[in-house]
Amino acid sequence: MSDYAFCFRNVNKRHHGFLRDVSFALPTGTIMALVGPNGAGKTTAIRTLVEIADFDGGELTMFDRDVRENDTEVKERLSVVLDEIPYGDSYNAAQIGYILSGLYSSWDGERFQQYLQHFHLIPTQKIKEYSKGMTQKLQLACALSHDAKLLVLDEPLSNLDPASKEDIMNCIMQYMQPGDRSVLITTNTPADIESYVDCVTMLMSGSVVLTGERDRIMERHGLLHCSDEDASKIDKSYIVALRRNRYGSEVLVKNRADFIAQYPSLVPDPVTLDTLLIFYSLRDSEVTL
Amino acid sequence: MKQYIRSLGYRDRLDNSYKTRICIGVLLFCLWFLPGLIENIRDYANYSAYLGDSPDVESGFAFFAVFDMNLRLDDIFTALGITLPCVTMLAGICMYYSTVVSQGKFSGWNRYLRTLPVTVDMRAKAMLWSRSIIFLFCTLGVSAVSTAIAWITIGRGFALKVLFAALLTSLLVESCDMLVDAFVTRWILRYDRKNAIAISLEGGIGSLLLAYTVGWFSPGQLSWEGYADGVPKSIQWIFIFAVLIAINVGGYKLLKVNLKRQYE
Repeated sequence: MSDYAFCFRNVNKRHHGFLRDVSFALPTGTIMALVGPNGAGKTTAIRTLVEIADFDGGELTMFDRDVRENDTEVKERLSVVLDEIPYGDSYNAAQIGYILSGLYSSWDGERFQQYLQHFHLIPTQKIKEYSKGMTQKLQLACALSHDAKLLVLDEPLSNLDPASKEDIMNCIMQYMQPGDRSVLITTNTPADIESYVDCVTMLMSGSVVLTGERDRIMERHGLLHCSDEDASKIDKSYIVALRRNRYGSEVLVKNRADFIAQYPSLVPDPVTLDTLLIFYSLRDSEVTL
Repeated sequence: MKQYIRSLGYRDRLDNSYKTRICIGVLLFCLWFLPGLIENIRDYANYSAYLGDSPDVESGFAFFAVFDMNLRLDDIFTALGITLPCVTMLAGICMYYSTVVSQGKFSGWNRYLRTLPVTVDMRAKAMLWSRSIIFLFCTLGVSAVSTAIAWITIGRGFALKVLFAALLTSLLVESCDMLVDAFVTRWILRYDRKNAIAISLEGGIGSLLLAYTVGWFSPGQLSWEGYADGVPKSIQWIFIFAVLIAINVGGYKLLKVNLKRQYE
């Protein structure tokens, strides 16, 4: 078993979406959230990974093999849920299951039926009659019905109600149980998946700004609420972004432990992934509300 | 393999665009070509009556009777005059609908297919099978429409000629299309407005060129007679069909090689 499900090494892409020297890896047996604002390059990164889009430079491996080799053995171990509806309108879930059963050697028809039942999807209903949420669920049912070792999900929770979101995340946690499986999940609303993920990679304008274990990233950052005067005294090397409002300043600081040692009177609050995403989006600019 | 061919969405394309395409095609045909067609039919009827070579096939229903009757170049062109605009127009509308209208849907499906564990060889084979199935359905549809129009407007005997010409024309269009696709493989892999127009033009212009070529060499023509004296007409026609089928088979092989190269 390889240590990493996939590995981006200085991947660059200039056309049809862009990536700049993107480097990050998904350790086997973990769930990674790929977060970033709209247009940050999340979908481009996923499409590059699953060989839908080509890239210009760098190295990209999946299960230790170059993704550009179009290795069917690698694809057999991969499941993808795209952010768009990939199926033809006139098909129904049963027909999609039939098509995929002939393509994946490890396809489990019984499990597929169970997922259809679980998600309340009628096998004979045409896909054009599905809502967006139902299509997402069907994609997930397909993705979980063969023995994939890597599950790549592009915005799987968009268009879903809170109960469905939780249900889907529970299905993903169940999928992770054997221990040799990995998940990459993209979102621009990290709060939905924050409690489920082990690792986080944040993309901004096609570049990786943060990557690593979620807990360590959270520990290293803090959100400070202070007066404008206090904010102006903080060493710039600690500041990721600063936001002023009528009540004072909000500062996202990095190297939290060092910061507290240097400024004992200023204690930053713990951060959430949403906070990180908001403040990293404001980076290099001081915002006044 | 069977599943992958199904996955390529030929069913969807047929379901979603074929019916619409046929309806719009017939509507346009009626509005645009019917007045001229009726005029042509009158001329043809007068001409046939004048020559006194009214088709014997009126009395016999068998399709192969066409091979034995005195099929003149004028007959062929009159028949092609009905079928060619119909075929070209339907092909154009077909391409427009299957490429532009359903573009979004198929771009998603095509992207998804690339994530599946399918070998390059299988992808190429399935693409060709899918293409052939669409062609078969289009041929049958166009032939049926053309024949029906001819039957209603003129009669059964002439309808058989039209059926014959429709099949021949479809094969001509496909021969041309196959050859172009074989050399410009990316056209069948991409679905956008520009390629839809290009493919429609290619089908239209190519079919006309091939029709004239076949017309020139068709049995009964001077250029052909010199080389085929004493050869029964049915054998001559079989030879022409064999050449067209050979073009298709050759194009198919070449296309497969190019497709595989492209996928790799």
